[in-house]
Amino acid sequence: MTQRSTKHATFTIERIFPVSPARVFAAYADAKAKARWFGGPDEWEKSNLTLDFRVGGRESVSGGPSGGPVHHYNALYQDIVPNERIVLTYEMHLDKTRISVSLGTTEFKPAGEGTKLVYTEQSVFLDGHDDAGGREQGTRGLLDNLEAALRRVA
Amino acid sequence: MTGRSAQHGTIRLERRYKASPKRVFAAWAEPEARAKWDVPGRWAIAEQSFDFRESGRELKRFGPQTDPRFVAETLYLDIVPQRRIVFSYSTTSNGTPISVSLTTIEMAADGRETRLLLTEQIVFLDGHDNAGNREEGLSSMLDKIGAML
Repeated sequence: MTQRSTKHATFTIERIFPVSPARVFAAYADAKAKARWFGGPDEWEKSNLTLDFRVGGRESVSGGPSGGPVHHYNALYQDIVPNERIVLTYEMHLDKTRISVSLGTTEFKPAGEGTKLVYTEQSVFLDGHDDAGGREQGTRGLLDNLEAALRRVA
Repeated sequence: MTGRSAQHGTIRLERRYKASPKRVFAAWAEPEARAKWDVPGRWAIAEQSFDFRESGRELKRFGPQTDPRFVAETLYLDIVPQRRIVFSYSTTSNGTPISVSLTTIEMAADGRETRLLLTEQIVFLDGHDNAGNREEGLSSMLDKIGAML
């Protein structure tokens, strides 16, 4: 009998970016722009990111260390308010094993000349895989990449 | 001003049913069984599609008898027969988004009964609906499953 378990967790990350909400939103809405910051570490082998950015649309990307397990990300867009909010759900597989399902809310708020981004992730980790601390750390890394990408084009 | 907001919450409910996990699981898996309880209180289902499998998507239109203004669109994410169902759903009212949920249903045999745990992680959008109201609705549906079983 396979051991089944679930662990529910929530984390929130806030960032201030020195560009407008429209500019930050565009880094999520366009496949090319998103591929510049969304994905695993530079040294990973990665697939192309596919993005159908509309409510009911899907997104996927996969990648992993050379010779190691492949991480598969598959998302469904649930709610989109241009320049203000994106709500999606996504599942992560490690090779063929589903390790987690998450509900992610990204809010884009004007902050002076810039943008305050608030990301909230509500997750369920399945059967002992992964952990909330690791996911939060990974997400902070992605937002670091986003900040660097925004500064490059600023 | 836009008046946009996102309110996050988690609802946890537990029930004990005098039935096997197989029968409790069937309350979701079998269309005939699900149609008997899948709407809160005295509300009615005006339209419902079934696609109970991983990656399956369903639509349900429901609400008060004379005003089925709510639409829920469900995506099944993880299904372990007689053990676990994980799905997401978005809800709109007259086309306005009101919430998105990630729901985990867990079932385990406990003697001759089944212990069911429901965990719903939710974001309420723009002040439409709230955790208290949603909890009442979910609780009412779990009671209907008990009555059906």
